Amino acid sequence: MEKPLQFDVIASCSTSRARTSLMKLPHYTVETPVFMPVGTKGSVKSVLPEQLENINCQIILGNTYHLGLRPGVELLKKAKGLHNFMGWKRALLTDSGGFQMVSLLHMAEINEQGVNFESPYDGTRSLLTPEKSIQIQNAIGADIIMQLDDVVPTTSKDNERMEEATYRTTRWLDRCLSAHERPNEQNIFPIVQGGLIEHLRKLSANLHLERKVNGYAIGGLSGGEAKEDFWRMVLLSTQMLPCDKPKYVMGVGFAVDLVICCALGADMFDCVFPTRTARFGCALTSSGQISLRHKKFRMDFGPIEKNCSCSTCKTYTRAYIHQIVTTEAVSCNLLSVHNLNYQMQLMKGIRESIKVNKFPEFVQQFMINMYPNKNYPQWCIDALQSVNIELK
Amino acid sequence: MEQALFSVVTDRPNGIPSTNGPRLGTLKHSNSQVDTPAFMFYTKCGSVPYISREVFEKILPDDQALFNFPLPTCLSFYQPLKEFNRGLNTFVGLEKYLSCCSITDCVEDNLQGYNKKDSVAVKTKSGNQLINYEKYMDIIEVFKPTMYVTLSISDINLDSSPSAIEKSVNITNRLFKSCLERHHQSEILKQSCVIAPIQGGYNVQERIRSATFLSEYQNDVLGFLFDGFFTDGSIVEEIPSDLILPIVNKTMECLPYDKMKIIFGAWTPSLIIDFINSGVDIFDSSFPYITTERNSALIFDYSLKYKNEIIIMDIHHNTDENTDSSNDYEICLTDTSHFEKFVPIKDSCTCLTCKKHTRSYIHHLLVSNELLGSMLLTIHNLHYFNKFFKDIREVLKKK
Repeated sequence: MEKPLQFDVIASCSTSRARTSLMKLPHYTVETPVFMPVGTKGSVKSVLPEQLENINCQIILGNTYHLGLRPGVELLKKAKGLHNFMGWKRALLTDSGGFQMVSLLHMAEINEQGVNFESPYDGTRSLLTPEKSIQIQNAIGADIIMQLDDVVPTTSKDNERMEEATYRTTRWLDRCLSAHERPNEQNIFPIVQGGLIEHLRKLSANLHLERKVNGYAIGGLSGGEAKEDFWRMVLLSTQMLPCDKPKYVMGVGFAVDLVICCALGADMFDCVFPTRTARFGCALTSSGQISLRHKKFRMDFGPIEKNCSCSTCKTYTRAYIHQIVTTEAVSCNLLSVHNLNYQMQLMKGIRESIKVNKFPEFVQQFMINMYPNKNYPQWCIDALQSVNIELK
Repeated sequence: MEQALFSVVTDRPNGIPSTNGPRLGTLKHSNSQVDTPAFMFYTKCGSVPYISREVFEKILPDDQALFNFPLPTCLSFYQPLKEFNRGLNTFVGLEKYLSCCSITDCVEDNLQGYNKKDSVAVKTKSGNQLINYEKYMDIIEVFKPTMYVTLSISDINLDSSPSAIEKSVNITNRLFKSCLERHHQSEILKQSCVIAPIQGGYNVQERIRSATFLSEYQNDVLGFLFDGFFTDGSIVEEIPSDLILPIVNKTMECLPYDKMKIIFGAWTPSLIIDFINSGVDIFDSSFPYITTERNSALIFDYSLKYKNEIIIMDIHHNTDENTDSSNDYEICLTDTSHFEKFVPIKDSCTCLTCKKHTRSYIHHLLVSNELLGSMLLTIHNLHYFNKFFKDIREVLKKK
């Protein structure tokens, strides 16, 4: 039987660890490195599925926690899965729900069984077990689904708890794998945990390597830790994981982080950032983020970014968006389309440069655009140096 | 570029001088043409609510369209537009379409009684502003619309006193003359057309006085607006037809046949048919907007026929829709009955929303406060409303 995930590396950077691949999933063949916009409650906020396709978005993410509460598993089953429910034909990935519970809910308690939480809608307590998480994700029907992991805040200083969580994450992985009812249609990704503790990360990766899976996630990062720690943990994890499988760094969405994680060998990313910042009136550009609320844009009759291919930049000026930003709902659509297009184009630029073996040059140019005065953050210099890319 | 031109296509009824009757018309401006009866797309701050230009083109891929820009929602564009110098249409990304500037926001609760002498109070996001005719014409010169309603006092409703009504007619007439004078002096406005606002509330004599006065300037205007029937745009559907129809009919008799007749507001489809039968050519999309705002979708089944020189609309009551919606025209998608309905809003509808999405999904989006829910509803409601007008024109063509 054919696996529900075929991963073919097309080209690898001869200098760094970056690579570009085709990841064939049941609903779509995704080009990696890829950024996955987040569609928390079954829609990428304020953007039509057709608009996502227009900007060449190939895979989006849904949140199991939110979808499980509303519309609920029963409805999603009747709708024959989330693809069908939301009218999205391309690939989907769902998280396990665990992270949301721990980050959104004050009352969540974790024990060996699972995560005990209080429903924000009716206050009743329920238990999310690894089995239950997979059951919901089987109903949602995404191409890639996540194991339930034991989430400890990245910045926690409690090493004992971190160690417990690392082992428990693997125990839960096994429970997830045996609860999985659709292994021919959906891929469970294990999550490499271990916080910022090197030997725990290695341990976690090694434990997961023994399981039969088609790809891996690197979790427990992007939680407010120092960038210095972040990149070292990403590198450590990608080095431990096999070359012939996709590696997904969870919660990464800033342009600089994406470029550097690609250099470190990661393939997949997700983050609410581009769409969330759009709702706050911010636009992403090659020289960084701009807030269109600022009055300096009142008389600025250029597009958000010159030569940008998105429908927003082809039609609207900064001055007009300044007038409607954060007050008119349509501004969310305009900025989300632009920001997501920015992310898609960035990833495309990365892929294309790897194909012609010019990724280091791409990174150098990207960093100069972002930091015209070359005041590069030290962590960027260090991270890139670790994979042989020098910033000029 | 020439001014916009309106012409009635339907033959004038033989030997009957009356202008009260449904008719086909065309509004032309350079390469654009809008066939009437038609409606203007209601905008807020320069955009159809929830809908970008990219999405609008999915609703009307090749059709020509006319947009209405209510002054309260775009007054703040004045300063940037002065510098931009390419007009409102281009600034809001709708440069290829026709545009109309008007004084009141026909879906909101507008100010009442804040006008001072010949200055009109305009409620904006940043507070109330008093606009006199000079300031108004400065704005229009900068906005450069295809057409615009002259400045007017229209804060009149069913409860307005006779003296308030009289005053609104007097001041509006005066403002009309001042605006027109300035219009003729303006080089910039050579390409823009004037719409004359008829006041008079629900008083026939005052309406006739207003219409008679404005008709003297018929060669200076593209058309007439039936204005000043309500101050709160959200309750227009509740205005009884037997109060407003006789007024519109009587007023129509005082107006020149071949000029465009406009009425704004969220009138029900049934009253829209009545107005068309009275000779009104152009409406606006307040009704589908208000429908979207109450999380509802237009689904009414109708048949139109032309008989005894009027259009007759039969509305088929939907027996399979067990909703407690406020009217026959729509269903409310937040109603829990749609939770599990994996069918489109309307089976026969060819809009993007109905071709791809189910009631169940839209219900989910709306109860989850996802903006996409309102976007999908807007796409459907505007498509449906547009189809309604297409069908009306078809019936008039075949008569």
